[in-house]
Amino acid sequence: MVTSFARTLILYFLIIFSLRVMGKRQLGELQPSELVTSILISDLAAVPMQDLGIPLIQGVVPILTLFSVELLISAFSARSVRIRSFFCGRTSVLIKNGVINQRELKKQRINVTELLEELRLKDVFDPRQVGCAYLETNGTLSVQLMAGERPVTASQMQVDTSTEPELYTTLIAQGRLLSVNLKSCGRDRHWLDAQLRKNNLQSPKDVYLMVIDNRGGVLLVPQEHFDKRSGVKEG
Amino acid sequence: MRYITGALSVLLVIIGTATVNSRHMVAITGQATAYVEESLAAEEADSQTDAVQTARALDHFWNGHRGYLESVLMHAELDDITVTISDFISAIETGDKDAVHANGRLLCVQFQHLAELELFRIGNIL
Repeated sequence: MVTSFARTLILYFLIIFSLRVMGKRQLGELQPSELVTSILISDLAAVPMQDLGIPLIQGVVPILTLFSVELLISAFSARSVRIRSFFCGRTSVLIKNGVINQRELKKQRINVTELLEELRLKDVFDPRQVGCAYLETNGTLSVQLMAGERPVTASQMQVDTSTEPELYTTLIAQGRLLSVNLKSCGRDRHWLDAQLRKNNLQSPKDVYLMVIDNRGGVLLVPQEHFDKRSGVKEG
Repeated sequence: MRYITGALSVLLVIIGTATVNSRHMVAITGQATAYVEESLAAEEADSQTDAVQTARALDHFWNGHRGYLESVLMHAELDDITVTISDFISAIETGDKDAVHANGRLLCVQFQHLAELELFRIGNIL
């Protein structure tokens, strides 16, 4: 037991170190420690499940160890910048004021084609339009356009947006009534039933999707019924 | 703070349980080895009845701890020991001295291996 505990700790820190050395581009959207925990836990859980000759505790101890270490790291990371930068790395600036930071690109082992590809995915086709491009600690690229390249906003145009809906709440999803959401938007079952009757529907089960915005606007999509054998819509 | 305390508590429980388990394992294997040595000594002294009685006591002792051992160790290693104990008893009963000594020595090594398996040592970790 003590061996698997020590081995788990060693492997955990080894994989964290490897991923940190490999760089952010390997990570996707998870933080390094989260990724390591996900990989290891799924594998650790699988081994005692498949091999009945291995006691369950040999899988449970490493998983509990990883879980606790991950909790400790995230708690300490929230308290200390140093610990956070050790485990999660730092944000890198790849483009500043339209100028590509070649040194940082080389350090992160990202070639310019990949950078341009990432920019295109964000609808930016000219790096000179970029005020700042950050490579985040989870491996994603955040782009801030130059002030002159940003789309004009309603507030800049002094357009009154007070009548525009902003907050959308789902009330029914695939026939299931979300009572908490109904209550949180200040409506009750009577109001809901009235809405359903207005649309010739009997109960929430007849609704595929019902959404309400903060101005009271309702989007209601009725449930479509299919013949299970033929897949043809009924009615 | 709640998360830190919770996580540290889990780690402490694991370390504590591992330490107790390691000590318990040393005690079990030590007692089992003592049975083997006692049985071998009886066999040397040509007291077959005592040798068989002690070997059966070892078998009883081993089966008594089997449940606990199976919850912490690989089952294949425990099965090997169970087979060796059975061979050891048969050899004493049939009076095959060579087989008694071979199985006795093998049992001692297997018990020592079990005890070492759970010790907190660099060799085990690496």
